[in-house]
Amino acid sequence: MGVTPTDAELMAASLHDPQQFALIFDRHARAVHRYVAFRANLGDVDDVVSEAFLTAFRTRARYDRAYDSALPWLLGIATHVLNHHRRSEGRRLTRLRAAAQAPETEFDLAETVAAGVDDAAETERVARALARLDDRYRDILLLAAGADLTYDEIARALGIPIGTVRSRLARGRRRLRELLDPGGQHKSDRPYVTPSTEGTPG
Amino acid sequence: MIDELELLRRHIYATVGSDPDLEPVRRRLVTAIDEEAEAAPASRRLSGGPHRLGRRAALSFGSLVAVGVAAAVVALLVVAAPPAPHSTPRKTTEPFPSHLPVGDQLRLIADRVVEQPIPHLQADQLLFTRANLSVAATVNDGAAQATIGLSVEKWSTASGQTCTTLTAQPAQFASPSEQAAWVGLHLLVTPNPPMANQCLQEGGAAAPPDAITGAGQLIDVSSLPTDPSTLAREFESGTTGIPALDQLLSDEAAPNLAFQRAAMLLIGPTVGASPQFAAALFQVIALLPGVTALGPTTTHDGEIGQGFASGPGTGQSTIVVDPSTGQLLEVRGLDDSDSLSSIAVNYLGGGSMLVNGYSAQLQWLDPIGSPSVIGLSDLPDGLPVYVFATTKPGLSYNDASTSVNHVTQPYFSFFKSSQSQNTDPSNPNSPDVFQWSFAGPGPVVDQFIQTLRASGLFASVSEI
Repeated sequence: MGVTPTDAELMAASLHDPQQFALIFDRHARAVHRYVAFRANLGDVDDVVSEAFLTAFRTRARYDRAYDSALPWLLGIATHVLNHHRRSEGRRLTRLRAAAQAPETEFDLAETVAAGVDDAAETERVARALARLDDRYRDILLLAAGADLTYDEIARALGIPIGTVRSRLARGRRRLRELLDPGGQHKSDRPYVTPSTEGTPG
Repeated sequence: MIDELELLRRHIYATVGSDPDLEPVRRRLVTAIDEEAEAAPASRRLSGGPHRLGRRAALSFGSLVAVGVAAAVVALLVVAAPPAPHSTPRKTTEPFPSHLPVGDQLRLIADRVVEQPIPHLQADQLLFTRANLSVAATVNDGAAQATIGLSVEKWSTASGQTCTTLTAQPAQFASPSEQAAWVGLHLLVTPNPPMANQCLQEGGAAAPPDAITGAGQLIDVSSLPTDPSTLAREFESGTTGIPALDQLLSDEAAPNLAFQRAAMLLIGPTVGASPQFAAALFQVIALLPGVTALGPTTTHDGEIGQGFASGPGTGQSTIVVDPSTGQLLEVRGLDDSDSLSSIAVNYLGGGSMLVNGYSAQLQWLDPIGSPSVIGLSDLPDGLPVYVFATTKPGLSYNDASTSVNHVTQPYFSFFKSSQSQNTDPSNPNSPDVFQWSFAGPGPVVDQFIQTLRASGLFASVSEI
């Protein structure tokens, strides 16, 4: 093990010394928490993050140590736990969807979406667009934008081919752009092209 | 001006804040870690080191989180654990020897397949598979044609029940005139609704032989031989004893039926396969006359694998596999006339009397990831709950129908659907499979199942 052990090395060490796994938590808990916090009800965030790390701990023997960073794996587990807590996210998404379908003047911002954002109009616009997105696109967009994962890492997190990640991210971005600006007024300062395979989306 | 990903990124950061209190979460994890460390034999525990938790871990003994609660959570999580990333086999970094004869290439892949683990399905678990596919639909003998994109998700139990969710995309047309012909038959471009759900019991009602796309069930291959020559003969003659395979295009003299049957089992979902059987599928293909190697081949999802076709030239069936694991990446050109059986009505827009027939050809199918084993509680909310009950031996539909109606009458208003069929369609006196669906899980369903079991009419009652 080097001076700064990789996640893979810590995973291996934790099989004999379980306490090594806590360093994995210390490295990635903030990123996982941020990802979960955006998707779960406020009161459920800690439970989901806790379940995700406990699951990771119990299944760490199955971690593929060919990968140095465990973050995509952890986010994949967190996504699964979120789906398992479907009632939690369901309430939130139901609220968002209701908001998305409501007339502009009746839009009631979801509690966590509205919190802490200065530009209420932009928050409303993004929340409305996210609520209308297909789940497949939403997962990938949030992993890309919220966790800064690369294509390969998103593929690992969700257990889907990298080609699917590329195509869904491209479609998800296009769809999000359309939803953000139905009238086509929204202009981007970047071309909407599929980045390179190894690159980071966006 | 910023792009949509950056906008989303800002939105997330602004919404969730940047300095969460993670200590409560950490305490829960450390409790579980401490439990395992305590349970481990002393010889397995290391005596510290530069990366040990040390003091923080020591302080966590007697944490606020009760051990019992943590253990219960962990017990749940074992069921909820997703497939580990490495369950999706990775591509080999070694170059594949495409210069070898096709038979040698396939046998080389078989050698690697036999080393791959096979998901084992317990009684309380489901095998979950997903695929994207494209189907060429032809209506009224070519009067209208379109390409239909489908997404299929299947959940199968070890006892042969399979629920399928089929989501269809808007029809695509090669030209405006084709679209005009489609619309001229009062067919919808965007299906309404876009999704079809269906659950089937093996041997029960509505069991079409299309194992590929629509309502296909879990195929139990445990009875099939693992000897490649024997298996190849059964594929060629259609004598496997598995209707989903043997009835494939039974009325057409397709030259590549054996190849298609092998491809169908690569698609699955299957149960009862051993690593030897999985390897035998490739050895069978190696034995089939006319099979050709296509070399490195890119799928519609952008993955690169080794391609093999049932014969030279176009119009053949093709598989693309990861040569390091044998994982199927794509299938092209399978005959699957029932591809749209579950979703076709959704393009009719309330019933077009102008449609008098259609056919469908599977253009390509890309499995998404590897089959994964999940818990029953992981079924998505949108699926209805199906209850299956098989009458006791010797109790046919005619014998049982009156009693069953009497028993189930209090629940009639809760049924979304109900149907029944003989377990052996050729024998009207065979036991009957009754099937009811409910909008979703709940106490009514639980009570209904208890009522069925208490009735004494059924040999088995199950739900999915």
